[in-house]
Amino acid sequence: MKGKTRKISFILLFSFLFLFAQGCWGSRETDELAYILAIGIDKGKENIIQVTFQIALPRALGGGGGGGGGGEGGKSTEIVSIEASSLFGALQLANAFVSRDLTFIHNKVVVVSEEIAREGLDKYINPLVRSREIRRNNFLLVTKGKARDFLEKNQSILEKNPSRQFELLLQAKNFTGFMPFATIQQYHSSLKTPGRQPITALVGVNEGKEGKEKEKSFVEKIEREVAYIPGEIPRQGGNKAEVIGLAVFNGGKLVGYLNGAETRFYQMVTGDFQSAIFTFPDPQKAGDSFVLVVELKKGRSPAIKATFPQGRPVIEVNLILEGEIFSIQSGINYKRGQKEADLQKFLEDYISQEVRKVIAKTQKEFKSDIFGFGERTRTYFWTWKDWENFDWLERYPQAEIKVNTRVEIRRTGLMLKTEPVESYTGGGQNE
Amino acid sequence: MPKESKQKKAQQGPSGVWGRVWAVAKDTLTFKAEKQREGFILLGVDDRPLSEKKKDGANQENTGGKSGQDEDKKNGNREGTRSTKKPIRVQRVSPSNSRKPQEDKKDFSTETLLVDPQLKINKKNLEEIYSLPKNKDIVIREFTIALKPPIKAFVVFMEGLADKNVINNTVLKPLMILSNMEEKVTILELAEYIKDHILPGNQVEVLAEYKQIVERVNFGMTAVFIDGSPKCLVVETKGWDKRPIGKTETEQVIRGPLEAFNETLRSNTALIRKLVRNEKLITEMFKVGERNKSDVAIMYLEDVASPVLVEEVKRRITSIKTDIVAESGSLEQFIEDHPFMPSPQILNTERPDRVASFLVEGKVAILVDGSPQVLVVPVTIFSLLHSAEDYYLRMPYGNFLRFLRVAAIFITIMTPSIYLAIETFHQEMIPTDLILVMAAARETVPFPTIMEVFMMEFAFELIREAGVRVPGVIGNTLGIVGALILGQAAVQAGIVSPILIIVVAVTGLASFAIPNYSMSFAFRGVRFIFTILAGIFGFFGVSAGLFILLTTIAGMKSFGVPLLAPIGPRTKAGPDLVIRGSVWSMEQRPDETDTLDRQRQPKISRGWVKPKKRGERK
Repeated sequence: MKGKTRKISFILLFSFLFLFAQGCWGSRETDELAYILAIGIDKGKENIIQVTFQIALPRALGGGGGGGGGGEGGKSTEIVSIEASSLFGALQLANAFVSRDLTFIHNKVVVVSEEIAREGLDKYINPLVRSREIRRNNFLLVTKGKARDFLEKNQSILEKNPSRQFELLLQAKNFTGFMPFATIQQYHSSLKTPGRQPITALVGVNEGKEGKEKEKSFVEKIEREVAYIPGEIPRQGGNKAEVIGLAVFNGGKLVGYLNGAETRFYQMVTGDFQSAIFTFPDPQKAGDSFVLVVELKKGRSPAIKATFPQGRPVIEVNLILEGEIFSIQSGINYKRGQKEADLQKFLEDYISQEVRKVIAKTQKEFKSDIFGFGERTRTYFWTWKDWENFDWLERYPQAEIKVNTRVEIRRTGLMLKTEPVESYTGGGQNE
Repeated sequence: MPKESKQKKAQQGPSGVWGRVWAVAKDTLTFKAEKQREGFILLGVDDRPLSEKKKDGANQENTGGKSGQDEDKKNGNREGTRSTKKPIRVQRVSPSNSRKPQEDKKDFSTETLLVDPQLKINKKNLEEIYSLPKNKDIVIREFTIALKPPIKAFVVFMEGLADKNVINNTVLKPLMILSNMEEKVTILELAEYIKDHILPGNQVEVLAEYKQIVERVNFGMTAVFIDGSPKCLVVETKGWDKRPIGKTETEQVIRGPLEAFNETLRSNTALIRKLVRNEKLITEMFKVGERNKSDVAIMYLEDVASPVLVEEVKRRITSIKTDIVAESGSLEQFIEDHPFMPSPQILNTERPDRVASFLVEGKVAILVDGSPQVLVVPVTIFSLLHSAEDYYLRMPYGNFLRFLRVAAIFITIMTPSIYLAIETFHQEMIPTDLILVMAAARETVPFPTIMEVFMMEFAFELIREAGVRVPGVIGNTLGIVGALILGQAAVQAGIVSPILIIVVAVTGLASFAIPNYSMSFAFRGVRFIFTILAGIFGFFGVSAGLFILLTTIAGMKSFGVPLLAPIGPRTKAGPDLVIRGSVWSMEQRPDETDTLDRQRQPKISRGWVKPKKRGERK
């Protein structure tokens, strides 16, 4: 009995002592923290970099429990910029004027200016990957222009919370294919592997511009439809910030951009492509300014094979896509028979050709294997040494890459009978 | 006497022969004299080799006290196996004339007293026993038995406990009016004669010992003392006001019987027997308690329940020495395995149908007179989570309820602690929108979250407790008032965050969804410990707490059956743990009860279903 009471009193005393030790265990109240939602990195004037933090204002974002709608129409975030030598230096300095403990635990995006990216992004990535607070599934974005500008101009109409806005915006790649879903983790791992080069999504500010009247052919106009990079989309109104296209890196350095259209074909090869709506000039009536709108979906993940005749890598890419017809302006019945086969053939050729163009661009212009062909080729080597000696990234520009595409039209829409337009003057054109 | 001298010496110091004994004893033992208990309290023992100890023991034995024998036994038996510093209890037989002053006055004790042939002496004895005429509950009615020649007699019964109609009609009437016949029997056989021929009561006993007679009179029977007879007739006349069998109060079901136990042992046994109509259903009765002999019954199916289990239940119940066992709740505490652990190890229920279903599984029911709750042993943690309705509803619905309840347990234990851990340690674990809402809600709150959680949880328990204690008339309003004050006002005043109100409310609701009252208590208590752990260590504390909780439960037993069986020690499990199988698929009785008859029903219990051959398709 005596031993038991002693044991119990010991446990009680021990747990009582822990109550006083709780400050040492990293407990922080939610309202003692300032949540950073976005980080911007620019080149600094007085110091090396200028870091921009977008800080959430919980009272405005959270709706303010008892206080009664204080933040209606007001700002939901505060943007501050500090010049410092490093990211965490800036974080420390920011606490000179932000009352709460700044934390990255709810950070969603890291925006880097084009200028920094061209000089080399790799050294700025390191703290992002190493830090305990920043998640590697944060989006990494490269902006044309300054990162601070981008964060400031990014005033979403629909979303109050910018972190949610970015998430939704980048998820649009599932039905547009315009932008990659590139995270810090992906960037970092492609940076460190010899079989792939990193990319990031490309963002920018669009001040709104009128479409300029240019002499262009019908086919050129159609091809131009989604081939934009940020800041170029002819539009008015809405959020000034936009996401389209991707930034191509060679090592840590930015070497160029792929526009929205090219990004779609890039993703078809990597297997990230889910679905997108494509507009084509009607293959059989292109001259009459008729367009054909088809939604293409990923049928299966692309099959990539490599062979090495005479030591030169030859890579064969087989794409399998499925299509659904959205619009046939010409009224030609592409639904069955020979016409359907013709349409499929047209789509297959078109996509193969465009994919080849994008691959050729990365080979010739950027000399950067952003597709990760190296990772597919790697499996053909017996040892890691062999693979390293092969020096894939050097050989990539000379590699021969073949692209085959198969497109199946699965659905043709709700029209039972597809007929051309009948009119008095023109007369019926029976196909 | 040695005791007296020793006591004296303990105070004053020894001399003479006892001095020598005392000198040896003093070296070994440290005593403190205690006047009130008339004995010694042993304070310590020194460890010396066995031989010397034995010598001491012999010396002690010389003193003739019981202490010496005890000491010798302990030294001889235990010293060989381990050296112990355990204090030895020194018992002293205190002089009986000074121990109980009340008994001094009496020159007799009911223990051995026999019925006297003289009626006067019997009456005097009874007056002595019942402190008459001070005690107004006891009634002595003197009359004459209408035999030839007439014989004087009297009846004794307890007012209120005995049924007056029964006494009038089956005791007094036949004895006084209807018995006009010749006496052909000797005075010694008179009691038997009256029992056989005159008294029409359904249970009549002929007793001679006062102890037995008084016990029965205290329980509502009527004793008939007859002049000249050394024996007494005890007639069954029990009949007191009792609550009729009512509806279930704590274990309500929508589908299933609504009968509940009441406070009368005999109607409770009848309720069970009504459901289990089997000649092998045994009811054994015990008297528990020394001052008040409470009736305790155990019920089991003789050809199903494990004899070892039945033996153990009997052993535990009969070993209890206490003054009164008023409710099955106190009995539960006397016989349970782990009194300090949070989880109950004995199931209590007010439903006869539930007890019946446990009995056919080979378990033992314990009924206490005066308690509307029946205990069932042994139980596993799974049966504590079941409710009677699970079995009456169709299998999918029953399982839905089961899942709901398991979820309720986790919500009860963990919701406040998880909220606290997230709020203070792991802000990164929840969606950004949610953490911003939580941060905004907390902006005006002046307390740390742990304080806030404790305040609200405490307030909730307060409402609950007050709701139970408050008189019925204002009870209904209390919940509303409490909820209004605590919820709305506290939030408006900015003292607590509105999200916490949701957390506390959900936790409270979930805790009431746990079917077993003790279990619900256990988990509500554990919740506070988890909250402290979460406040200090965050999720690490919560997971450590879960681990400790699980290991303690895994280490517990209920009458020899591990509480987590058949999962804790893995044994053959039937389809009735968390998920319930179809009624016809429960072919075996639970493995852990170790029943004599394992098979509950044959492989094919639905006779109308065509047996499927092996490999045959539907």
